[in-house]
Amino acid sequence: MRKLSLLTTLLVLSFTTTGFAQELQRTITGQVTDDVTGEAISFPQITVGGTAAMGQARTTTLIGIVGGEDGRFALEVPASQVILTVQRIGYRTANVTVPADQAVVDITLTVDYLRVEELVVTGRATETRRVNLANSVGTIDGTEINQVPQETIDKAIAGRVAGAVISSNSGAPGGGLQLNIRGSASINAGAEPLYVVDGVIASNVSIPSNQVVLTESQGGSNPNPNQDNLQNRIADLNPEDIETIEVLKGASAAAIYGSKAANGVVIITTKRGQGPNTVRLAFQGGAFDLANTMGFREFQSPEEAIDTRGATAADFCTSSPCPVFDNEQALAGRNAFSWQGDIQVSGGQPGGTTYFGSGQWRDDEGIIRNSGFERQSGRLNVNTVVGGVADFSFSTNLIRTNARRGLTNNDNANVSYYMVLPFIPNFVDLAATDLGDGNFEPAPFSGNGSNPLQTAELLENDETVWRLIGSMNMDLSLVNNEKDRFDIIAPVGVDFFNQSNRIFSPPALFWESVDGLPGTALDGSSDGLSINVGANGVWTHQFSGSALTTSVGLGYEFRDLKINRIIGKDLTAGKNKTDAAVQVSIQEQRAKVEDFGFYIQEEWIGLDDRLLLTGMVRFDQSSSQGDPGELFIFPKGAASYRIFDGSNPDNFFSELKFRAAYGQTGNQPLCDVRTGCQKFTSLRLDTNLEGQAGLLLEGTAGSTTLAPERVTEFEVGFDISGLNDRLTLQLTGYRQDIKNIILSRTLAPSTGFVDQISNGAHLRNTGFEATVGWTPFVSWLSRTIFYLNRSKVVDLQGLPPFEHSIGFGLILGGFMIQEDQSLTQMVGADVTCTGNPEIDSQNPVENTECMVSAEFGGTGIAGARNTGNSEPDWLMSFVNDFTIARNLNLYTMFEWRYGMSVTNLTLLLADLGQNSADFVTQGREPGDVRDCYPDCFGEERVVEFLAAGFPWTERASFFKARDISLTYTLPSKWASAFFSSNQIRFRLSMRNLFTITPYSGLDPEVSNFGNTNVGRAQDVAPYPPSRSVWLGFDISL
Amino acid sequence: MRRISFLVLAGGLLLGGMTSCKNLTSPNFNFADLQDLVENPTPTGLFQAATGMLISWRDYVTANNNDLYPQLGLLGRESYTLDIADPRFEAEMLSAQLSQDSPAFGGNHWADPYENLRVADIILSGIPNSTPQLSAGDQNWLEGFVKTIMAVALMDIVLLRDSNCGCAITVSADLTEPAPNVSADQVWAEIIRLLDEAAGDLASASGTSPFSLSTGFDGIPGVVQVGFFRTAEGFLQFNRALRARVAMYRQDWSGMLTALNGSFISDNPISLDLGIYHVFTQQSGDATNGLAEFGDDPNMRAHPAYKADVELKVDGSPDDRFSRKTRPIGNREGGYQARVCLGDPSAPPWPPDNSYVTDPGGGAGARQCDVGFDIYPTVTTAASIIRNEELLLMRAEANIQLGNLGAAQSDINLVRSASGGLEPVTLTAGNAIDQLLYERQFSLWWEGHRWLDMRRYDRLNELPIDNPGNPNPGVASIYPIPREEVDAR
Repeated sequence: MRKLSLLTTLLVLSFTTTGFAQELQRTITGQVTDDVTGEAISFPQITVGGTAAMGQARTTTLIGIVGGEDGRFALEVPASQVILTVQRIGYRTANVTVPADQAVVDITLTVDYLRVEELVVTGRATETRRVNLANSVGTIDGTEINQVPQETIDKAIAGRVAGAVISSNSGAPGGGLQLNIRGSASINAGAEPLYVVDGVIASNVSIPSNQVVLTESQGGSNPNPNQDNLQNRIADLNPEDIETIEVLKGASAAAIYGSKAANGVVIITTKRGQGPNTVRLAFQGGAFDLANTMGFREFQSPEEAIDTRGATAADFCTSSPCPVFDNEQALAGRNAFSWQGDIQVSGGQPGGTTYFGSGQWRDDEGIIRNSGFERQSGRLNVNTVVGGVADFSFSTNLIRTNARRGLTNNDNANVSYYMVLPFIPNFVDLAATDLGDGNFEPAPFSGNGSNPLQTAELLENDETVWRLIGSMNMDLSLVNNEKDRFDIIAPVGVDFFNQSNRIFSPPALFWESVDGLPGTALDGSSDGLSINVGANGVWTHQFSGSALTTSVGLGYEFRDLKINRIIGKDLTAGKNKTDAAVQVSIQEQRAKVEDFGFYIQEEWIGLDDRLLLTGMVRFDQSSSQGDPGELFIFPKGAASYRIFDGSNPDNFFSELKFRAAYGQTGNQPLCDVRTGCQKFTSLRLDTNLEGQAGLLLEGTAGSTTLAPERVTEFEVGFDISGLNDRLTLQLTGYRQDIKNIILSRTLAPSTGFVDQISNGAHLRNTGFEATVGWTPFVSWLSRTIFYLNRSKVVDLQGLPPFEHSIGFGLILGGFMIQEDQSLTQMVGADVTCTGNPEIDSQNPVENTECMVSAEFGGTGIAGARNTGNSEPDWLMSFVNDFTIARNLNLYTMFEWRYGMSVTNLTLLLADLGQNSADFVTQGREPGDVRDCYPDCFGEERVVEFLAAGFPWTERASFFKARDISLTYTLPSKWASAFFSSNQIRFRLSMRNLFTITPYSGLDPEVSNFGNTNVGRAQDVAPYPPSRSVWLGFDISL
Repeated sequence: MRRISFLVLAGGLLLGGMTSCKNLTSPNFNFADLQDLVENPTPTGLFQAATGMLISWRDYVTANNNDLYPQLGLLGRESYTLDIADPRFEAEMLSAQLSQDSPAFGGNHWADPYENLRVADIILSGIPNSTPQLSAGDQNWLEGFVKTIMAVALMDIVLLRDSNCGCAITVSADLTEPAPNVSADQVWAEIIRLLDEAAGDLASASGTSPFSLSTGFDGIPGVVQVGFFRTAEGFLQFNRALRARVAMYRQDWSGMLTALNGSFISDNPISLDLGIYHVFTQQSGDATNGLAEFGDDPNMRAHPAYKADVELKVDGSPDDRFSRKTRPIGNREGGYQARVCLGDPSAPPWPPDNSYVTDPGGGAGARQCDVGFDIYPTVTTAASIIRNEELLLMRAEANIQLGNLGAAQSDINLVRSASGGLEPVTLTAGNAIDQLLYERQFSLWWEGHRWLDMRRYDRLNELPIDNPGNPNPGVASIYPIPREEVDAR
């Protein structure tokens, strides 16, 4: 949408040349420079009349010009005194009064550190200057993202937007991250925000590799293959291409996206070219390093080893204490060279054709051998203006990514790395089982011989994606005069990808023959296609100091995902070829959704640019609804008022704005590619008996009246800046009420159905966001973000409390959905509770948290307590940018999350293996759990677990050094002298350098079940976390 | 003028929006639509649903280690499941009381049979409305089949829940208003009604089933013609065999003999395995036998008590049934092994490490978990539903109960010799039931009978407790009604 401002400029140019307006009687010349560095500011926009300050981008200016690369300009103006308005992206707008007798004026601009000038998308085709914005919209600048080379875009958002929590699901290269904006808003519908890239609704789907054929993790109570350590597809995009990311956090800002925006909208705008042809080359090299280990039990004597692990232990431990080997390091201690190379070219004449092209090759080598992530991305963005009235904007992006994922997360077959390691005592030297050349010995004490080193070396679990994202946006300016402007804006976007999953588990793996079918080959191919087309009309009318913008539009979206898999087991020839297998099975899964919607929006800005009023109604329908013909209405209303508008520089507050916004969005019923749309009642077709087809009842009954969930949000806030803009403060409070929540109601199984999908229930998120910007010195920019969210289940419409389907049960720690409690509360079995409040209150142990049995009824345990929450109490992040010397810059970003918990089932595994670092009870008799809870030793945890269940839930607050980078910019005279280059920079950067946490597991950021509304924070044998260090340079020519 | 043109355009856009929104579709790509089968039944759809009933039945019997056969194996102390990842096999199944809150264990084998009742209901109400119409013969065949499988489903429900019923015998149209509960006796009456009605239907049908029955209905070549149980005549004999089983549980000894006479019971010593089976293939979409485990360290193991219980042949080697159905495997070391397999309550309570030592022999007299099953040597070995060996033992039992010890003795000795390679025994009033239970124990090992046999004769207290460390040690005698069912009513 940023093209609009460009278009404005072009129109200005065309009008000046065609001589529409007043008579021009003199010429003003001058130069625009930076007020601190004194350097020329290239291509400034200079306009006359002050109308450009009218709040919105879409304003009409009759006289204007774009200055040269050296900041110089010459502008014809009326003879009378004029006010010049000077604008440049990245700088504050300046208004300069030029008396009738002055012909030369030099203008300085101040860097817009706080980005108040920036234009923020507020409609499908309109944008608003941040100073007038009625919502808190998070914006991230591309240059900030790439301070440290980011693997994926979502990793780059972490810590940079108040109200957004970005968490890794594991440490695996290539990501698998969840972006959660303003709390969880659903139980059974989607958890993902909507990603819009240059107007294209881009898929962020997570498609399982189907490694379940090896891990059998879908057995028992967790039928979904969502424990496959999934990548989410936004990982395909190249972060270096990004100009800005805007995060519309709640319904009040995102209502115009209707029934797809309940989890927020992330609007990604890629770079566009302008000016002289430039080439930027960049290269960074570095390595990843294991950041944390579990640590296992150290045996003090051969007797202890034999007593615990049987007589065979004597072969490994012969003296006291037993030797200690770091087998985690043996598995995940690789520091292989990783690198990223980028080329970016851009240029073009404003008003003609401009271009931006980029290429990237990134190769991340993971800390476990044979794991890694690769991206090759090419982009070409072209803008061209035809006939002065039609602005076409094309974006094309071709991407290949390849992720080698290894075998991690939950499994029931004793094959995943960290499922096996916790059972291997560390007096065994696992590294010694690697005989070289792909030959291994079985890992001692691993049961089926499973050796994680062998699995890592020989197993192939590759995910390769080819993706093409393309869009065209046409902006046709039909009317443009003093009072009115009318544009037709029509975007078309296509996002197509093919994800190919290859798994090859050779017969040589020691565990492969356990099922009688040695060797497994899997070939999965997924095709995702989404198309969106729209048409918008935007009419801006100016009258007596105000501007009224009316927009109407409609849009159609289409999403189709199809997965084919061939799984071959029993590979007698040992080749990676599915049809060479004895047992071959095929899967086909597909889901398609069509959406249609239209809207009408009014934005009025007046009272000297102080007051903004917005009203909007969106009508939406979708094939995912029970009745696809039904229109759902999502309204919005917002207002902002600038009490101080920056016009009086003597005020302490240069800006003070109050804003309030109300809006509704929806969350569509799911059309899952595997289980189908939630509205269906189905019969399974995919099973047969000796080749004869059979129809089987699906246990879940659908609903023909299923409606989208509905989020209603009210948001208020203040934006303040003072001390000459050196201090800014943004305060926002919000409340979201989410109704019509899609529930699965348990039926009497004697009906033949287990449950039925229906709308009901009411959730609430209440939160507070603060962003403080501070520029104590010109050379030090500081930003601190604070965010908290409180979730509450308001009403379950008569349903008793129930355990969320994602998890391993309260006996290990799970999620209870319960009225008046947080949606993400964690509950675990506890032997010190009885469920009877009278007894519990008399218990001498602090039992105030014991739940009464009605709160956890039907879960098969005797007593339970609330053990934590997967959502943090609050989080803060600290961004600091120091210019140490003229050419040396230090950038740091730290994130601090407080108060959340993680259920550490990797520790459970170590406990069951009598192998956890704190296994041996010291100073008391095991079994005396009442004395130890919650700080029990491993032995005590197991005793309690077997007696009544034990929640392995731990506090998992953390402080992480996300990004640190040190940049040295070569003095420009040297750069041009030695390399004939405009700019040369050298950069040392570090990602996740250190983490401070009380959590005993590998990484407090973890989710065995991937991206989900409820059920995150379960740690089951994840890919271990890593830190990375990079050294690089970039040259601009 | 321009404002007007804009308004017209805007109005046009809005109007276009209002009117062009009728054809949004999300096809149900992955599944068949249930409503479609209900509203537009076709012979193909109904026949596929009938095949689906067989698949679903197979799925809840032998697909996983917590299915019907292995769970009844645990309760009857026929087997162990040493799954270190899932302590519930020990904590819940080897306890005197099963939990109604545990869907995969105490709450299991409830929803699955009712799913089949729902499908049966859809088929039976679809038969008269089918387009094209089914022939009268095909109608009878399909109804006879569906009612027989309905009886099986209800039998699974009432055998496990027994006096805990209240149980529904029909499925309700309104999903939120489940059908009324009836007593266990009424469930049995419904089972008998269904089986006898099905017998009438099958008697009026003829020829091979109009829908596909698996090779599990082939019979044994040379004993019967191939595909015998796929004919109306053969399937009726299967129906009567089930009817005899019902009579056994109802202690209707003469009714049992009548039913057996209509079944495929045979004195031919090579026909012990003649019967009906769940079958498996490795084809895509088909299932393999989930009870087949290989290697030296399988999770599911034979109960060590069988080593002590087994009779020896003249040459001193064990009963052929023991040798045929087991294989030596590695023992496990560690707490679970010590506690469950050795009955040592002082052993540490946590599950074992993954280590084991290969010690197939075991110490003298030690009860060790070093016996593995060889009942399913491949992943496609069929699992028995009912077969002649059981029918012979049923006839023996009926005769014992009716005082015909001679007739009983010849059946028992036929089985002992043909299946076990053992010497004949002489039955007396004093030893007859003991002997019968021994033969059933080894002839029908891990086929879902032992626990029910011991319960029928009120001998559950003779089974090993196995898990003295359990807070509630003992042998569970009955499955509870699952929590979901109780809560929804």
